[in-house]
Amino acid sequence: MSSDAEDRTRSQAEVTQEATPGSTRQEGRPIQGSAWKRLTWPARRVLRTAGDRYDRMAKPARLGVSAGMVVLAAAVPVLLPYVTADSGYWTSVATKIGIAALLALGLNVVVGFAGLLDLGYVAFFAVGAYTFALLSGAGRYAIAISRSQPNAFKLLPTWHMYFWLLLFVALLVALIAGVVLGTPTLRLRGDYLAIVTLGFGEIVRITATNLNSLTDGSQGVNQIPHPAINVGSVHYNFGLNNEAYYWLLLAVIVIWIFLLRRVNDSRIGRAWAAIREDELAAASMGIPTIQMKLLAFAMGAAVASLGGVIYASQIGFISPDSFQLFSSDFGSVIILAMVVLGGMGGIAGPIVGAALIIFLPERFRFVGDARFLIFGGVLVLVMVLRPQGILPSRRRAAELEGGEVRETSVFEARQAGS
Amino acid sequence: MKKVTVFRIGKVPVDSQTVLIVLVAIAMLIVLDLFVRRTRAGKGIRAVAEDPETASLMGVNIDRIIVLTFFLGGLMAGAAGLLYGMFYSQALFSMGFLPGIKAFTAAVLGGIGNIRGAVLGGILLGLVENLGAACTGAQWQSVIAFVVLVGVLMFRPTGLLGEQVSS
Repeated sequence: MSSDAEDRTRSQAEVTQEATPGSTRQEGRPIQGSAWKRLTWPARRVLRTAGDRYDRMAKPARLGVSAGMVVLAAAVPVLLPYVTADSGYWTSVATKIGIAALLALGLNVVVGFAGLLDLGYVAFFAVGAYTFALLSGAGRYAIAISRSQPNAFKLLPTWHMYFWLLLFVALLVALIAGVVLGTPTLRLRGDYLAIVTLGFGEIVRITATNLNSLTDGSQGVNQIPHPAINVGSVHYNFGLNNEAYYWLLLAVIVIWIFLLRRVNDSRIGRAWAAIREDELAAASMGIPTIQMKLLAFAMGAAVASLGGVIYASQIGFISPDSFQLFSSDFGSVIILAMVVLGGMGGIAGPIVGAALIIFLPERFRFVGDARFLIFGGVLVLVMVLRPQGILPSRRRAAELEGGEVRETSVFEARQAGS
Repeated sequence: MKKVTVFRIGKVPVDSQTVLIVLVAIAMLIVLDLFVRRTRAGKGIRAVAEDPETASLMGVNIDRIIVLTFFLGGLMAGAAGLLYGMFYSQALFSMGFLPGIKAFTAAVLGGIGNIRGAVLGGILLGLVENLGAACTGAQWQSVIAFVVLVGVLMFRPTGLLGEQVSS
């Protein structure tokens, strides 16, 4: 399979070489084009091999690597004190990476699998966070009810017990929100879809700001309860223990990855790939494109809302400002950057992207505000050197590879994008 | 300090800034319309929009046309930014975000690729937004713009005056 792809790439390279005399050839890859491309070729090669080597592994080896990674990830809070003196701070960064990775994996379904550019993804994160915050009894609305009717909340005496229930409620609400927002928008394509999803993201945020009586407007909801476990004799409140949230996130991510792999290797996954590569052809092959796109949209929404619930219960406070489009925490644009930087269409890619995009600005905090400048520069550099992302899926890479080897002209690239 | 003269047309007070903005908009509309319709470069732009591949076979330098459209777009946006900053007496790095989306909405409303439509769309969007805001409250103004955008894309994706570019 992989050698097939390689052969194809090589034969394409040879064709290109015939077409452009004067270009030299090295290790089966053409070096051509500008001086810039020749100069950066070794760096691109190094970046390329890391992802490709994993892609070419046999299945048991890949499973072993994955299991090892999960164990390693679970051990991070335990190992941190040996690495850094400020382990408490870095644990909180690790939970932030966990939320970011969850969001990136969710957006990856929409953007990477189904190929729909969604710029309003943070809306579903907000839906989850607000659903949990308001149903858990925090916020003006719930407090007013509990004052006027003290019996109203007797059904739910200890909110933290219901964290797990509310997790599923928020998931359902986000599924519905995904279908409701998706139905009118998913008939659109390309730029139109991006702008409309962006508009919906803003509508959700503005609504949260304006519904003062329900959400406390721009003041936000505070005193959101932390989750707790009350099973038999086990009583544990998550409180402000970042490790607990980290492991919770890890568990959710592992479950999600398992589901994602199953779905993506099924008929649904193949339908998504077909829609991504040529929607018209997919539709004429009998794929129900609207349903498949809606499914991707709703799945992404559900995952984002899980992230929102965990975020709200960890921080204990949310406001519309947490869900701004350009927010440097989990704004739609940053999440999209994680997916694109890490590599679309895979599973490792978005996680790596999320980790880098959260970690780097924290690590270089000592350089002050200039770190965002450096960060932006690094992003541009990586995308120039490796447009398919750090660890793209083989299929996605092949889709882009065709363009890269043949030196796509502007209009071809545009047609491929639309 | 800037000087603003207020005068009346009938019973309506109008200040000189508003008049300037309207005049500049009309002038820009006419010049851009003439450029795209009458000049050789304008013909190139329309050709590339219609079918880039065929246009390049006919000797149109696509990359140069794209640079030219970006230049023109930047020019128009720059003029609009100047007027916008002047009207609100302030400049902010993030103030172009909402007007950018609303510009897109107006272009879609009038019909993408249609210069006169874009102006019509802009005027209509402004009216709908402000009359709507008068009914629902100013904080919902942007929401109204987005709802208009979604509505147009759903029910009349070619815009009011129709697209001049085949998709």
